[in-house]
Amino acid sequence: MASLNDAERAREQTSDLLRELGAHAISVEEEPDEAPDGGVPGGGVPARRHRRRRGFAVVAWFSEEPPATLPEHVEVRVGTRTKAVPLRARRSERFRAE
Amino acid sequence: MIPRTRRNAIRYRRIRVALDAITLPAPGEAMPELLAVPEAAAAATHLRSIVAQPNVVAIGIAEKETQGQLTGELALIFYVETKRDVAPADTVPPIVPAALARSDVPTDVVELGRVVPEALIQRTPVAPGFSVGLAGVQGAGTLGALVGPRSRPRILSNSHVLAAGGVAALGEAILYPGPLDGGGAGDEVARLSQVVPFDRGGAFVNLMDAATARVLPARRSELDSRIALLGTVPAGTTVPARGMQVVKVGRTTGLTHGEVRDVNFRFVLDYGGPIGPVGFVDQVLCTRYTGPGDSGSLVLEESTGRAVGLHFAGASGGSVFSPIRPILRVIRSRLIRVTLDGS
Repeated sequence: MASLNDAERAREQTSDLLRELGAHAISVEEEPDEAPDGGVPGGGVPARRHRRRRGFAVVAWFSEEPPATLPEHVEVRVGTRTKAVPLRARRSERFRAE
Repeated sequence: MIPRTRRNAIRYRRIRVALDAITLPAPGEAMPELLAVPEAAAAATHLRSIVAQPNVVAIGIAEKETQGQLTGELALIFYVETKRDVAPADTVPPIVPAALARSDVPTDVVELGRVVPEALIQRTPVAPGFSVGLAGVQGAGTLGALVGPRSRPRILSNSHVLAAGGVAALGEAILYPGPLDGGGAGDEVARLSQVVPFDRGGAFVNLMDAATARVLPARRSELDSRIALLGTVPAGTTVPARGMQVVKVGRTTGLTHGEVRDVNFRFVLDYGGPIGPVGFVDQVLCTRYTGPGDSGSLVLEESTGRAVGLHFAGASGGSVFSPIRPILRVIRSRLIRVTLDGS
């Protein structure tokens, strides 16, 4: 699970590459909720509720079909370790001056 | 008031079915069971072709009027810009065919005039939230804020509103309201005084879309520092944060609310013409709460009334503003926070 800082670092390191691949915008967004530890598939109430951990992803916005070669993760160096940050593609119209 | 009769209640449901059949997204997708009947499909297609005419500005359900008198009966109403003679095939039929509405229901044609978006437009006093624009450019944006010094006040908005993105020359006339909203030679309010240049090409390096214009001495007495519809001046400035609730008053959509989603948003905005693509970094993505013409609006933190940014771009995926503090640093100015009431 990538933290907000990990995802921000990943965006900083990869945004130029993503732009070259056709992305017109790059955001960092919270990942959808995952079932908490001990949770019941289908949304049942867990026997013991654990503190929810939030994960973040880099989201590349494309006005056309995203390239098939787009990886599912981007790797960032955090100290001596390497972390994988999820990379999501989104189809969306380009922003316009208003 | 339309009589609340059983007959009208039934008729309303039937007209509503017809209304949906001829206005929902696409024939064949909407109401497949009804439109599987060939007669109903043909009637819907015919009425859709009438609705598509440029002179038809709206369609709805209301009381039928005959020779200036309300009849007490509901009808499917075709609102037109002006009543005029049209080809027989384009004429609104007197009744909706029974195939579409289960029984014949009447229609009516009502002259409505041209429907235009209602915008925040005024000539005086000169206040944030209202229409402003560059003379000679058929457009309009929003006057975001008044900035100091008080002895020589300036208006703050976007570069693409006041300076055509940097194409305009310093000293060019700024109109209030903007040309798109009827601003003309007698509406000059300021002269373009400062433009933050773009680094063009699409690299993620630009921090703002901002420009200022010096208010003409003859119009300084008309300044009202209170933001339209809010009636308050900004209570200082603050920095954006994820989840922050924000509010803005813009020329097009008026007073609307949004929520901050991302405070380091990077994106490319294509201004077209001689400017082309411009890449922005460290911008603020919000939920969608703006529309074309709102550019230049000052964005405020809802809970404190402190200014947090200057709105300038949008898409279906969200609205984007630039943080206000870097803008004020670059233009070397402060928001005017004392109340000027334009009198």
